Amino acid sequence: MIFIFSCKPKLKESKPITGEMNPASVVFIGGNGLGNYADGALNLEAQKNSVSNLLAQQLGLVGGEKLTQPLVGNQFNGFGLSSLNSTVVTAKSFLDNKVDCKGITSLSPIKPNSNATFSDLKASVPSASYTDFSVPFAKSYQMLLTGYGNPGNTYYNPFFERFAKNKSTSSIIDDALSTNPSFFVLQPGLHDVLQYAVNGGASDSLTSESRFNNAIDALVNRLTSNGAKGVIINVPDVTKFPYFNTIPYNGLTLDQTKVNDLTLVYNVISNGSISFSVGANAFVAFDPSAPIGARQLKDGEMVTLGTPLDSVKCNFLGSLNPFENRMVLSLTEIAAIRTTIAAYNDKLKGVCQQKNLALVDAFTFYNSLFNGIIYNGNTINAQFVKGGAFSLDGINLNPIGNALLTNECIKAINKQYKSRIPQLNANQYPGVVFP
Amino acid sequence: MKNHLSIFKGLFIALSLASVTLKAQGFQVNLQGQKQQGMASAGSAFVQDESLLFYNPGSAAFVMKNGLNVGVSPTIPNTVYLDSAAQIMSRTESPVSTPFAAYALFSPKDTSRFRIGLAVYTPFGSTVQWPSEWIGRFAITRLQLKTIFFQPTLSYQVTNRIGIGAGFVNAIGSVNLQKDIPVINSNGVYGRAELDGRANGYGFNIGIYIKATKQLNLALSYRSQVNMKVKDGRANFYVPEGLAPNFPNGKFTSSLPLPQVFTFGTHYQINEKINLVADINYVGWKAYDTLAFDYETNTTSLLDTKSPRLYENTFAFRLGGQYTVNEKFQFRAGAAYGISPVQQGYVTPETPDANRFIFTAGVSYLIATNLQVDASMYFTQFTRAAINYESNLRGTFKTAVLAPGISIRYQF
Repeated sequence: MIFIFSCKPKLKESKPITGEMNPASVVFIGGNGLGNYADGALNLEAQKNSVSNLLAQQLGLVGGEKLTQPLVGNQFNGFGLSSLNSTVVTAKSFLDNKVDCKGITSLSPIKPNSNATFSDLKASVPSASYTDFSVPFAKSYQMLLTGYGNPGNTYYNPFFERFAKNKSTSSIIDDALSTNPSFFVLQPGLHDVLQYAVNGGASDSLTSESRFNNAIDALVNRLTSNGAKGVIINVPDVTKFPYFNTIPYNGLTLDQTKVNDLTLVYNVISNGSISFSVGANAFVAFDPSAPIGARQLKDGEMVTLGTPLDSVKCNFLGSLNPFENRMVLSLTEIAAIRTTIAAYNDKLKGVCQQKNLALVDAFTFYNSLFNGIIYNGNTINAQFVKGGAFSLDGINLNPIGNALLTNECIKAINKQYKSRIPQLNANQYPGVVFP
Repeated sequence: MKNHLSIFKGLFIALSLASVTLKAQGFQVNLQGQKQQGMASAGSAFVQDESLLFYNPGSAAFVMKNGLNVGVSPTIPNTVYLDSAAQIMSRTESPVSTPFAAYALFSPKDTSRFRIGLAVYTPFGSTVQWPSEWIGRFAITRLQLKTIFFQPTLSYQVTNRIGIGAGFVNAIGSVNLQKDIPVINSNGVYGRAELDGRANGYGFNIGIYIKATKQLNLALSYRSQVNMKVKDGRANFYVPEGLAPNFPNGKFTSSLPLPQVFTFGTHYQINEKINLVADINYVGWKAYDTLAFDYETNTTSLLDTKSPRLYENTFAFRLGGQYTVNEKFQFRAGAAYGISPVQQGYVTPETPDANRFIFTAGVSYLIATNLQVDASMYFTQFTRAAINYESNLRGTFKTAVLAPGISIRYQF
């Protein structure tokens, strides 16, 4: 007996402590930053591994209730939309070998045919008192709009229509408050900059600082009016997402023959403003302000993953046929996005201090991903596919990325409310799935 | 007599199949003689039996009879780890390991001042098996280090009061390291890496023994560093098919230094019944600076690795006593304090080392004039709140090691 005793050393887990927060009724309000949308679509697996679901699970250790989510039926391979103006539903991507236009096989994200229609996306999920208001594409001020799920309105969002309490009149904030939250998780501001960035600054717009500030004040005032406490997740620097950093600005690799061909064409029209040499060259993109309406990209400018790569490889896109504006973020656009994010985050920091709310510094967390982190022996960074943190759309996180962000939320809550909620073992959550 | 010899044969066969292991300060094993083990592994200056070939070849010059001595110390290590952020507990599933020591010591003639000896023992080793899917699975899941030292030795009585001895060490060993790779396939199975290789190295063991007074004996010994080199290791990767080109199976090389050990030992005979021993070891762990793996074929996913270990030289202090009840029975007890060579920031799950107290006890029984059984019990428990800068594991390790041992000694 003594043998067995001595051979089993014991350590004690510390007990979870609720602290100065009340997790009895928790509501989540946000956009894709809560992780329900990944691999290019709202999908069941992402919802199950979302920040909202993972955080609710950990809050359950201090008495929180289970999260109620408007889950995508498992018969559908995802509800993806390229924008809120689109009615073409796309499936979530997966990784597989793909033969490109040059006959070279490599691992690439593949989008299967969607098995869902726009009506499937819009169709109501069973009516329930949902507590996860992660609504893809929802900008901060749109969370306050009544009739946000009403197709009659120009600002209508079909992802909210799916589970709005009242399709014609509900707002996200009204429905969220109807659950009488004692604690809230608010993730505002991502889509206020993301849609503009994803479209290369060619469509959509950055939400103005004043509009954002007003929206935040209104949201927080209403959420805290009955004394609820909460946590706000700030905005990451979206320009560092793999979506903007996988194709280099000078990814145009040329041999002598191609240099000769392109020089022949551009010498005539560009007056020497566009030139090529053997090796790496800056891509050519349309720019109305350039003397000939097109110019070569500058160091620091970004080509998005929305660019058709086969056309780049085989059809002279980005050289003979310049990139369209929507495929490129210019230095001016990048600066505008970053300035806006900094202003949003100042506002969110101020509100948290003023209202004694916990602030999750997602900006810093994402920056650490961009630099690369090692989590319990697991090396994770923001490199597309290989880095492990981002899903195949290059914008939204993987389950393991969500788990790491959830841990940041837990740290912020523990610090602000003197609670002791255990973090997740993020290594239990998968990254990119390989064939 | 015949029976006794067949017992020996049986033990030898059993031992040659056995593996080597235990963690005791780094991955050093201090279980080479049951009499010393009963006294916290002190006793390099106490002339009793053939195991002095390991503890101090100088002292072995004064062992008067020819002898064979074979012992084994089944070691039951158990470590529990508590991750500090997630408060998740993981417990090792390490197998019982069986460090052994076998000695043969002869005099060419009864009057000779020379002793010729052969020692076969397992001074370093470690097997750690963490449960599947534990939080540190991408750092390590299993590490097995084995070493066996073969040490032919010559000892000589320079005078009636001074003995010297020297042995040449030929070491063989093996390493097997496994960990998971953070890439997953569509069935939810993670990648896995297994590195497996044989190693060998050379060294020596020398010592001097001095009968300072009628009651006080002194010993000074030095066991050299042995660099174990893996030249032809095999690295196998089990990854999703689509990633196989990134993780090519192939050869690797590596090396592991087994540190030098200086020992100063004293033995004081209070009276015919009571003997006291005290030893100090100074262990040259500083040699273990980096654990490097050099793969024959590198890819962007498979780079050579250099993991900092930055061990420090360290001491162990050992005290023990032996009480002779009568001609047949002896009892022993000992305690030791060992200082960990592992600095904060470099504690790894394969060697969750810490400063520790060690407690031991032992007994000897003379079955027949020429046949003695020695037994001992070794226990230590230590806790380390650790950070590892390389893997970012943060948590607390608690380890208990229990090692009962037994040996048989035949003199002729």
